[in-house]
Amino acid sequence: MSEFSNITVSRNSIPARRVSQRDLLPSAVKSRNLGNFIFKAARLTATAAIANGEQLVLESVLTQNSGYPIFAIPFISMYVGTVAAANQLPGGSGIDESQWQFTEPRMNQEDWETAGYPQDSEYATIYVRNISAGSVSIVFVVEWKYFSPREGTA
Amino acid sequence: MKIKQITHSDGSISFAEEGITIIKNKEDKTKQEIIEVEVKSIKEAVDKLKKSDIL
Repeated sequence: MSEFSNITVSRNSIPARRVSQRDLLPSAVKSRNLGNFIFKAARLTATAAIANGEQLVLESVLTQNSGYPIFAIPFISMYVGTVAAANQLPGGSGIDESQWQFTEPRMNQEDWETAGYPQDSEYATIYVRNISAGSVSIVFVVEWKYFSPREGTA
Repeated sequence: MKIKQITHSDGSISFAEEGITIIKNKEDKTKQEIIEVEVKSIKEAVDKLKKSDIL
């Protein structure tokens, strides 16, 4: 083990005053700091064909490529055919939801564990099954919002 | 844009950008093949799907 005998630490070298309950908190400074560590990753898309009785599992991984820890939230939309509000699954005006089964996005514990619980990656999964919509294509749009000390590089 | 063309274990194909994986069949995790292709947009990828025998 390395020794650092040349470094001395003095507990009394930095005078610090405890914040009283009556003190005003520096809310402006806190606000700026919060804004500086919330980022949005690049928009990702994918498309796949899916016929009656078939299913798709989409997995998305976000890695902070500068190596800093992240805490991230996935935003995933599914569209039948093309990207348009009317085609969104579920909820689009042109969609019959009774023809589909799907889950909402969730964080994937299996993938996180398999990767060794990295602090700089998040794993999301969504599932969709075509019951009776015919042979169509699904377009997935994935965007991640993440907290990190630094923004990842593109 | 560069995009991955995924050939599933049943022979069907999908397209996905880096950071996304699509699994269609139980065997896909070990059998799917991935190559990198160049497309102008995701719409072009959808058109490629339509030109295949799948749609």
